[in-house]
Amino acid sequence: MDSSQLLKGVLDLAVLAVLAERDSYGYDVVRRLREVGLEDVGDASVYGTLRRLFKAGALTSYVVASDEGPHRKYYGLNDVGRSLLQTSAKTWTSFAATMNDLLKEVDPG
Amino acid sequence: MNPPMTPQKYAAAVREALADLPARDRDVLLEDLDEHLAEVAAEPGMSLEERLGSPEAYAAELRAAYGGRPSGGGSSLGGRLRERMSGAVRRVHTRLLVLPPYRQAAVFAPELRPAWWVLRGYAIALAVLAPISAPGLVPGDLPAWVFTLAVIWGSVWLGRRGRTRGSRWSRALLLGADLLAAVLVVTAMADVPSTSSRGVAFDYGPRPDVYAPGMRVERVSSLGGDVSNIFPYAEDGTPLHNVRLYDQDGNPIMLEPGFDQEFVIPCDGEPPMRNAYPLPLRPVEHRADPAGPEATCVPATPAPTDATASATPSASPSPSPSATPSRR
Repeated sequence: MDSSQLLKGVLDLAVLAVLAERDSYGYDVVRRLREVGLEDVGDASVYGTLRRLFKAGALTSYVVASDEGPHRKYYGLNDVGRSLLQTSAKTWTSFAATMNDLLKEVDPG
Repeated sequence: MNPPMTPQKYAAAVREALADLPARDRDVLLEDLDEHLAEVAAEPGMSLEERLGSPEAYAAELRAAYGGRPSGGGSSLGGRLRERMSGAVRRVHTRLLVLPPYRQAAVFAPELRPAWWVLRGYAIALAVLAPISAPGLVPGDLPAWVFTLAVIWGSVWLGRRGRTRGSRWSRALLLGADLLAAVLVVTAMADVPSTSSRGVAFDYGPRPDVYAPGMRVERVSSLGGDVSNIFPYAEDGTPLHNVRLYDQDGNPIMLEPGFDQEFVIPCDGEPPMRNAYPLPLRPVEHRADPAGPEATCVPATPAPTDATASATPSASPSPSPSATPSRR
């Protein structure tokens, strides 16, 4: 199974989790997701997800000017984002537990 | 190989690939794309295209991640208000998602949308037809059916097209139509009991001379058309007279005599009670002098039926002598 297919379903959760750690700008989110092992994550997917979560009212955003390089738009969680992260994490945990349970006997080889 | 694209060129190509989005949505979505791409391009080693793929693929991925409904918004007051509203709704939604029944309902609800499209078309078609066709919950004739089906088709088409397309006004219009249809459906359902043919309708007395709210009974017998009188019999077959009928709330049950029947009003003594059965009715006579007194009383003897003779006092407000025979 292509892990990018799996990622689509949980990208929101992954982005929220990264932002819960600390506020980030778009490319930083991509980098941090790749650092933790989600190498397949698409730049545009992350960017689109950030814009969507922001539009949905789950994120705050502010622009930080920088001397060298472009201005950066930082995103952070607000209350909606935090509660969304909480419920999504709960859903994911129980889903993952179910899957682990199901695959207990399977030898991945 | 072509020279690597600059962030500006790449961003322009992405914008072009998303040209079918409404300008407003596109601007909101791509607001800081240039900065973002500049950041990516600043990474050493690979060109933008090597790193991100073609601008078209990038645009497609962006579109997918942003989701099917890039809502408006922006800096206008309405946009901010809508953003706050949708934020609040989403917050409640998120909280409620903890409850399993709500979660199931939230998953199930989208499947009901096509049904709503049909229902909404039907309701609006009937509302449009209402002034020109017979009242009812189904179209009256073939043209009405054709019209109704056409409206349903249009409603489904609009529903399938999705909300994202079209201008803000057309979306507002659609929302208005949805609300209107919802109101129509709810009122139609609330109305059903009183429009059914076996109606038992509340009435505030057939004439002002009866003050207590009374029941008016229409068409309770399914075979013979209107009921204009009731003839009670005892168990052994003896006809009963002056039987008072009341409903469960103590309101007198009254019948409307037919067009060709009128009450027999005795000249001396009290007028007949409207809920004492059988009613003292007689066929309406065609008066020679239409300008003359409308009601003619009859001497107490001989009464056409002895029901009129007894004038026992009753708990209900006693009808005052009425000059007008009750008929409609």
